[in-house]
Amino acid sequence: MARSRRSELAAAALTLLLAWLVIYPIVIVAADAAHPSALRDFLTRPGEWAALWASIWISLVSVILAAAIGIPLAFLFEWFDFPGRKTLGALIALPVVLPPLVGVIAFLFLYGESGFIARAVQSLLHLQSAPWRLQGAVAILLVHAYSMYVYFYLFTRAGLAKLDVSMLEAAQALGADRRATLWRVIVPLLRPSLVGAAILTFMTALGSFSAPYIFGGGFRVMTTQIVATKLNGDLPLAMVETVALAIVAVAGLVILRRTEGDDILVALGKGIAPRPRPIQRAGVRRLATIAGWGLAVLLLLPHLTLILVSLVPYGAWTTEILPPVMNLENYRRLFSETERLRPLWNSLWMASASTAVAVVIALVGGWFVVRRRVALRRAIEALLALPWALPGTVFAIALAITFSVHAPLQLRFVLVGTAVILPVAYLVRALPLTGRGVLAAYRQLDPALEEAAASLGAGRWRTLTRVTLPQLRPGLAAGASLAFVAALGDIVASIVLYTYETRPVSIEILSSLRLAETGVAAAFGVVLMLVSAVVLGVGARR
Amino acid sequence: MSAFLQIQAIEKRWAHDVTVGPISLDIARGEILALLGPSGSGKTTMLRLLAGFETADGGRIAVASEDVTTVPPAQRRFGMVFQHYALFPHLDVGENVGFGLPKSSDQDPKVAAALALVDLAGYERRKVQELSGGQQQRVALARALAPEPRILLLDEPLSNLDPALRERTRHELRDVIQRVGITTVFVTHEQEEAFDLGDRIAVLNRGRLEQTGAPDDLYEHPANLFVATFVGRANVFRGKAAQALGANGKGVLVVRPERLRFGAAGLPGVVRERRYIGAAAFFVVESDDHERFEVMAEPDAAKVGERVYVEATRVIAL
Repeated sequence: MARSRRSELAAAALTLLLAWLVIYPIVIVAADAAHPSALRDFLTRPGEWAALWASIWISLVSVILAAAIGIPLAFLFEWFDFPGRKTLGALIALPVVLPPLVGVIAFLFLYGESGFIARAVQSLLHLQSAPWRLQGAVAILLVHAYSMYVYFYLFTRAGLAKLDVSMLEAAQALGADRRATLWRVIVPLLRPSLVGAAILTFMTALGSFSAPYIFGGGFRVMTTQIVATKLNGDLPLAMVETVALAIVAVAGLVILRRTEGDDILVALGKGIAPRPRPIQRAGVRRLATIAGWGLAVLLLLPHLTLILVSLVPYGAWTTEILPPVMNLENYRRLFSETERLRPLWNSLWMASASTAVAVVIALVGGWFVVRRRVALRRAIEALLALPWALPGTVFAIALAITFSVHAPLQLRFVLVGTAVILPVAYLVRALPLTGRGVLAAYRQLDPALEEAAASLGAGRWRTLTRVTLPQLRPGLAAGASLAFVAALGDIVASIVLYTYETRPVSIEILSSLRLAETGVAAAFGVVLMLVSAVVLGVGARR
Repeated sequence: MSAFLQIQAIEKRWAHDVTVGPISLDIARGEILALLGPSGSGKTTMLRLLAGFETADGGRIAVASEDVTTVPPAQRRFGMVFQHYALFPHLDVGENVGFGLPKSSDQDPKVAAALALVDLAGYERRKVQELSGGQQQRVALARALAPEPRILLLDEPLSNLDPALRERTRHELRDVIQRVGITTVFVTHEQEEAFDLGDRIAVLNRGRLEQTGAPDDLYEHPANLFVATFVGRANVFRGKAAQALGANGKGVLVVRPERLRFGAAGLPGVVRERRYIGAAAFFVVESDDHERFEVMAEPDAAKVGERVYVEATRVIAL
């Protein structure tokens, strides 16, 4: 009894801490945003409505484009067999590895007006100027489609892999032809996966910052609009915009969740997924193979371009198709100049610190929610998941406003401008990732394992280190590696909250681009890409 | 019979209307006690109270006169074999068996001895996932026995095995427990398993202890209708049918199928079904007031549709 009261108290403390981190700043912004003149500004300026509308339709079109690419690819790779299927199937998921900003600048170097492709076309056709400008909504959608189809691809493949082949056979035995089987059996069974992918894509597109920031030009979406307003110093208006974006995000989430339906689609009994069918006709197989490899090259091109650009020293590449000089000068500068090394160091320690704290909070929270089943377990779980439901910009602004005031009685402290604020911002964004990983792993963990350890005489510490943590490791590592990579490449929170001393890699990439030091920017991008790939690779190891 | 494990009025209240206990039981040193009952009867709760995974809301548990009611599981020195074995998947067989042993130079020989006991000598470096269900069960037993616990607890130890393997494993299990001579409490919902393994059986129903006794006792002298019908096959007769079989009062009559036979007089009825099981057959007979009951007899004792008279060779009056 005494023990359970103690854990209820500890759980209440954790709930308060999470609420202070996750809800309190939003409440402050919402309260401050109720400012008559700012509200009037927002309601009367056409630019605001245009940005809000742009955010919504860009996100919706991104979902459609990502679905149009991702779903057919998933069917192709899950159901048909052709040479190179396995390798290609893994390569296709690669854009996930790229931090958004790195993906965007890789796109810029490849398809931008002074990019690789534009130069090639220009010199082939002997044009006076670049054949196109990669700008505006089309550019943003291109980047979104390129990076977000992966959600549909992975979710659909996972859904298809869970299908029970006997269910398809049953449909056929009942007289359904292929089309009927697809529409009446497969699609309904895939619906949860498809809705999941749609929600993830919509939320990612709505919160997307790098693409509209780099390619938007005069075309503003809400995220870039908020940052611009904040940089102009119009804080009251920025707060109203933040609240507007938050409302759209929550509304979108609620509406999309509706389409998920609440019928539980659990197969009765263990099924065996259909095996991939080899493509029989030689011509079709050759075509599929060529198309597959062509696709892989297309998808890998941005990564390759980034590596290529990172090897070109400052000012060495002007009008040629291929760079005339290539060496490791950019990397030498990056690692030998202390001022260049600093952002790298900043990003690494801030991402590590925020991930470590997020892991500890997730572990403690998971223990309270799953093992102790405390009264506040739903609150803890909801608080851990909440930051995922709101765009990063919303949290960045909310933290910037809440923690720029010294009012200890209101639990507000001046953290903006200190080295603490960015790790705190990263931590908030990391909580859903580590929380979900740990909670899922905890739920799968048979409580009998911990009881077995206890019955064999193991105390709490030994049970935790020898039994619980090793069992939670896969989920924990997956969540932690995603959180670390997200923090490492973060730009959304960083651009609002950084100081010169604490500037992370993403900010340094932007300033290098502004100084036309594309080589250094690309080198930073390659370093981020490699570290991310290694961390995700380690995190995915079973 | 001196009690080695004493359970005194132990009680667990889950909700105001769901209570297990109060239950009192004395278990002698070296005895094997079966907790038998349908699902929801509270038998698993009893076992978990003994292991210390649940805290009792009343009563007392003592081992060799030492009160262990509030001793946490880790210090209780009760070995437990879990229903799904709960083998640590990240550790190999040897590490699993050695988990409860203190780190010392004689850990390896002790692991080897425990594995030899369950006939798995030399399996130390195998992965637990590679073992068959029966082997996993034996590793779980070796792991529970290795730290030389005072009491061995088994939660449905055979329910995870396929029927063909179950009987053999049951005999091996009994063999190991008797060789070690350890006081054992195990939970089962299968009467055959309880009869075969248990020296004594405690029958639980809805959180209450219905009866404790040796298998023959329970079968021949059930304390009430629940025990009579849950332990073994039983026909229940009331009223006129009961009187036709020789009851002298208004009470309920319980008769085992093998204690009924076809004769020249007795309770009249029509054979509705015949289920052949090899050595004998079960005949489902419908009496004139449309009550159905089972008679076990020679396979050719009657035909379906035949009108018969049934008499009892031994009845249990309740």
